[in-house]
Amino acid sequence: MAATEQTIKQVNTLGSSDYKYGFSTEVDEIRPPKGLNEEIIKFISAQKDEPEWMLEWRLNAFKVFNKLPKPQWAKLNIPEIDYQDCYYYSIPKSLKDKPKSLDEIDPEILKTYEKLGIPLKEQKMLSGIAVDAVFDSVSVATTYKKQLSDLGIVFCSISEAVKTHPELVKKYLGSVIPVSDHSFAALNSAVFTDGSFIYIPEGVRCPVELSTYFRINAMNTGQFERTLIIADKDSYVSYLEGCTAPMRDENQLHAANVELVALDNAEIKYSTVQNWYPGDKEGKGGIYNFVTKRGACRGKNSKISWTQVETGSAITWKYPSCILQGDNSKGEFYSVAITNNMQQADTGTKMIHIGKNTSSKIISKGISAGKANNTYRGLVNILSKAKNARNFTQCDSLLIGNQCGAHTVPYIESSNSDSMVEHEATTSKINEDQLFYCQQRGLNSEDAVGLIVNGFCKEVLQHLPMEFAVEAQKLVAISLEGSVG
Amino acid sequence: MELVLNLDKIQSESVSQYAKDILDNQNPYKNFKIENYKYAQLHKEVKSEILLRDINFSKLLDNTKNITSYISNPFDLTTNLNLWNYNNEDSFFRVSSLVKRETKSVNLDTFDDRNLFLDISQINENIHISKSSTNEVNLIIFNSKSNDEYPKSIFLDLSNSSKLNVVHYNVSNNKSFLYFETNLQDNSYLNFVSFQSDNIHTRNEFYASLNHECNFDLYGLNINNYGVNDNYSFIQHLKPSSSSREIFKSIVEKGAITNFQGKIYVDSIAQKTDGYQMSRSLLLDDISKANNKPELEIYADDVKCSHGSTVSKLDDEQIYYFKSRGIDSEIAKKILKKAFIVEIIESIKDDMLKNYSNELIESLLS
Amino acid sequence: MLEIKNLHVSIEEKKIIKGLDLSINKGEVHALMGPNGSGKSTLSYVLSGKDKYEINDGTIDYNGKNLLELDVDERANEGLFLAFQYPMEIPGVQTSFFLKTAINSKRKYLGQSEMDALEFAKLMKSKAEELNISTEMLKRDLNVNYSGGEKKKQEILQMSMLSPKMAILDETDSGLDIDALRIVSEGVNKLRNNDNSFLVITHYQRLLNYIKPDFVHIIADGKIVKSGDYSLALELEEKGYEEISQTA
Repeated sequence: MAATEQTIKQVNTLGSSDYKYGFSTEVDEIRPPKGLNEEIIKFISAQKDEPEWMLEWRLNAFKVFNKLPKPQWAKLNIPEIDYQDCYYYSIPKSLKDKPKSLDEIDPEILKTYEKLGIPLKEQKMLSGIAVDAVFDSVSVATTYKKQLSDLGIVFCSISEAVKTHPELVKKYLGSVIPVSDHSFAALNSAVFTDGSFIYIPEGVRCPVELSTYFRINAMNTGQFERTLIIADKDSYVSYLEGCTAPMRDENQLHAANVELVALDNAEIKYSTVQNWYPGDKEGKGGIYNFVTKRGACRGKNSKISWTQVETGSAITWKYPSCILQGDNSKGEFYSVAITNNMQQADTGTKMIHIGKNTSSKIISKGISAGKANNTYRGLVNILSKAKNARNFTQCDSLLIGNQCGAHTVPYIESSNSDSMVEHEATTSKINEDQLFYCQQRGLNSEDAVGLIVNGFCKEVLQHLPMEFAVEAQKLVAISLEGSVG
Repeated sequence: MELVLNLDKIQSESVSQYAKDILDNQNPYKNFKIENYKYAQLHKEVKSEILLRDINFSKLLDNTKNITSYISNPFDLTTNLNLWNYNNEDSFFRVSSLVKRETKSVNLDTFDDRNLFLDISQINENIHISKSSTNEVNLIIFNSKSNDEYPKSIFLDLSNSSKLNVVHYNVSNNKSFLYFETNLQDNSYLNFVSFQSDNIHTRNEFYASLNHECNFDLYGLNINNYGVNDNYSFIQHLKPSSSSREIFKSIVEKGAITNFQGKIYVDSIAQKTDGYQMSRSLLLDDISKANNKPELEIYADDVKCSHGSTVSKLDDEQIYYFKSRGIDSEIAKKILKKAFIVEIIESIKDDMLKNYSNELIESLLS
Repeated sequence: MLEIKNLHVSIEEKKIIKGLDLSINKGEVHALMGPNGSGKSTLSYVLSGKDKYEINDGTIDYNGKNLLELDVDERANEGLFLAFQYPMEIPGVQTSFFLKTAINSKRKYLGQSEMDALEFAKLMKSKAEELNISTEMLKRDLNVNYSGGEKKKQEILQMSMLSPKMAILDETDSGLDIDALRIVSEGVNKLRNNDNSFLVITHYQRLLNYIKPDFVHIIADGKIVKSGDYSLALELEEKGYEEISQTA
C-alpha cells in the first residue's frame, strides 16, 4: 500500500517535538471531566480556538440533541448509552493504558496484521504505539500539499478549515445532514472533534486519492469525527477512509457525520473499509459505530458513489445516502457487510430522487456468521417531480451457520409514473458443492470460505480503489475465521 | 419503548380512533409494531367523491353453496389460538378482535359441496373456520358495501394434509378492514387469491404460520381503488420444509395510494424453507403513489428465499408495437393492464371461479 | 403509393437522415441496403410513426395523404405494415388474441363489422400453416420465449393476416437460418401482387435471392447514394459498401 508507506516515511521524519497539539504531554493535565454539557462544548471550542459562530452552532446543536429521542428504526439491540459517562475531548486512553511495545499487544491482533500483510513498522503504529506524536492533521497531507495547493485543492482538518475557509464551512456544514436529523447527528454537531475538510475547485480533477487512513486513528479523535467534502462544478475527487486499526477500547461510541456536496457535473467517490474492533467472541467490548453519511448531488449531471466494506464494530448503524437534486444526477451504493460472532449490523442506504432523469444503483451483500445479525435497510423514494427516474437494487444475503440472522428491509416509495424502480433480493447459504470443490483442490475450509465469500462480494469489491481492494479481500476472509467448523 | 395495547381503550373505540391515539401520542418510528401500519393511514378519514359501483355477484351464488348462515357455533377462540402456539401482538386488528368480540365457528367438512360462498359483509363476530378433510374445497369470501369501524376477522385452522382454495372478493367498499390469520398444520395446503377493486379505504392483514411441509400461496390484486389500499402480510415458517409463494399486483391511478408490506420470517429450525415474494405496481399517473416494503427476516441457513418489487408504468415500446398493428392506444393499454394481472387470475385453481373472475376483471377494467 | 421527399430526421439532436428521397409505386418491391448506422432502421421507424424521432424537414405522401400527420395506429390501419427487426415481447397477451384484436381494429377503422370467432380461427390456421407455425405457438404469450426465427415468422404471419398495402421488412433476414429464411420469403412472395408494395431493408444480399426486388437503393450516412435494379445488389455483394459509396 503506497499511501501507508509514504505516511510511515513521513512519520519517521517527524520528531515527537513537532507534534502540534502536544497531547502526549498535556492530556494528563487538561483532561476535561466526563459528561455532556455546555461547558464541555465551550471547552472543546476553546481548545480548538474556534470563532464565535462555530461555538454558537455547536450550542444550538446541543439544544436540539436534548430534544431528540434516540433513533429506533434499526433492528439492533443497542444498550442504553449514558452520555454523561463519556469523555468528549482527548478521549484517548491515557498514555499509560497504551501498549508500550509489541510484546504487550494481544497476539490475536498481531496475527491479524500478519495476515493483512502489514509490515512490523506499520503494526507498531496501528497498534497505537508511537502514534500520538505523529499523526496530527497537517502531516498527512503534507506529501501532496504543494501539488494539491497548486491546483487550488483544500485538504485539511475540519478544525483548520473553520479558521481558514469559514465561508465554505458556514455555507455547507449541516446543509446535507441537518442538525435536527436524528439524535446522533445532533450529538456529533455539538461535540465533533475533528475530521477532514476537502474542497475541489471548479474544473479540477484531483490527481491523487485523498485519504485519512491514519489521521483519524492517530489522533484518536475518531469518536466524533466530522467530514465535509465539496466538489465544485466539473470536478472530481476520490476519497478513501480506512478504519482498519482495531481499537482495543471497551464499547466505545463512535458517532461520525460525513457530508458530501457535488455541484454541476462533479463526481465524488467515497470508499470506506471499516474494521473497528468488533468485540470478542462473547460480544464483550467493541465499537458502537453510529455513522451518518449523506451526499447531496446538488448540481446537474453530478454523481456520488459510496463503496463500503464493513467488517468490524460490535454494532454498525450506518446508511450512506444520496439526495439526487440535480437533473440527471446519479447515486450509487456498493456495500459488503460482514458480521460474525456477536456482531450486529443494520446498514443500507437512502436514495431520494428529486430531479429529473436521476438514477440510482444499490448493490448490497450481507454475510452473517456465528450468532450475528445482519440487516439491510434501505429507502428508495421517487418524488412526484422526478420524471424518468430509475433505480435498481440488489440485496443478497449469505448465511453461514444456523444461529445467525439475515434480514432485508427495503422501503420503496414511488410517486412518479415515468419512473422505474426494481428491487431484487435473495438469501442463501454458502454453496456446499463449491466448498467441497475447493477443499478437494486442497484449500482448507477457511480459505475456501474466504474464496467463495470473496466471489459473492466481487461486484462490490471491484468498486474499491486498487490498494483498498486487495486489503478488503483479505479482511473478508479474516472476518469469517472460525465460522466454519 | 414498547407499544402497550390498551385493552380498555380498544373496547371503547373504533380502529381509526385507536390508531389516531397511538399515532398522535407516540412517534410512529419508535416502534416496530406501529411500523407495520406505516402507510395504512388508519388514523385518517379517507374520502372520495366516487360513487361506488354495484357489482352483480348473482352468478357466483348460482354455482355455489351459500354457507353464510351456517356461521353460528359459539367458539372459544382464545383457548384454541393458544394451541396454535402463536402469539401475535403486532396487530391491533387482531388484539381488538379478540378483546371486543365473540367468535362464531364453522367446520367446512360438514358440507358436501365443492364450492362454498361466505358473505362476511354483514358479520360482526369473529369467524373461525376449520377444515380437516383432505378433499379440495373452494371457499369464496365476499365483502362488499362495507363501512367498517372494526376489522372483520377470520381465523382459519387447516388440519394435517387438508387442502383449501380461497378466493376473496373485496369490492366496492367504503371502508374495509380485514384480519386473516391461519395456522397451517403439517402437509396442509392453502391457496388464497384476493381481488380488491373499487374500494376507498382498505387494510387487509394476512398472517400465516407454516408447519412441516405445508404450502401457502397468497396472491393479491388491486385495481380501481380510490383512496388508500393497504395490504400487509406476515408469513412465518416455523418448521422445516414448507414453502410460501406470494405475488401482489397493483394498478395505481387517479390519486390512489397502494401499499404492500410483506414479511417472510424463517425460524432457525425451519431449514429447507422455500419462500418467494413479489410485489409489482403499475403507477399510471403522478398524483398516485405506490409504496412497497417487502421484508425478509431469516434465521436458518439452509433456505431459499427471495423477493422482488417493481414500480413502473406501462411500457411505451409495447404500446407502440400495438399501435403499429393498428390497435389504438386505449385498447392497447387495456390489454396491457390485463396482461399485467393475468397471472393472478390464472392462480385460481377452480375453472369456474377462474372464468368468473376473468369476466369480472374484464368488466371492472373497462 | 409512397413518396418521400427531402427527408431530414434527427434523434436527440443527432442527425440521422439527411435529405432522403424515395418513391415507391403500386406493385413494386424496393430493397434498401446499407451498412450499420446508415439510417435504415430509422427510416422504418419514421415511416411507422414512432415518436422520439424529430422530422426536421421533408414530406412523406402516402396514397395522397400526408403520412406524417397520422398516428401510428392510423398508419397501420391505412395499410402500412412494419415487420420489426426486434419484435416486442408482450408477456400475458396470447398471440392469437393479439392477432384478433389487430384484425378487428382494422375492420373497425374501415367501418366493417368484427370478424366472427370461427372465421378468424380458420384464417389464422390457414395462414399459420403456410408459414409452418404450430397452433401451440399461437397459444403462447406474444413473442415470449420465441426463438429468433419464430419471432420473425410471427411478424410475417401478422403481415399476411393484415394484408397491408405497403409493407416494410426491417432486416427480417437477420437471425434466420436457411430454412426459416426460405419459409419467410415464400410467405412474402405469396403476398406480392399488383396492388401492394414492399420496402425490404437488409444488410446482406442473401435475402434478395429469395425476394427479388424491382429496385435496389443503397443508403449511406442518411442519404440514398445509388439506385439501380437487382444487379446493383450483386455488384454490392462483390465490391462492398465502401467502394460502391465512393463510386456513387
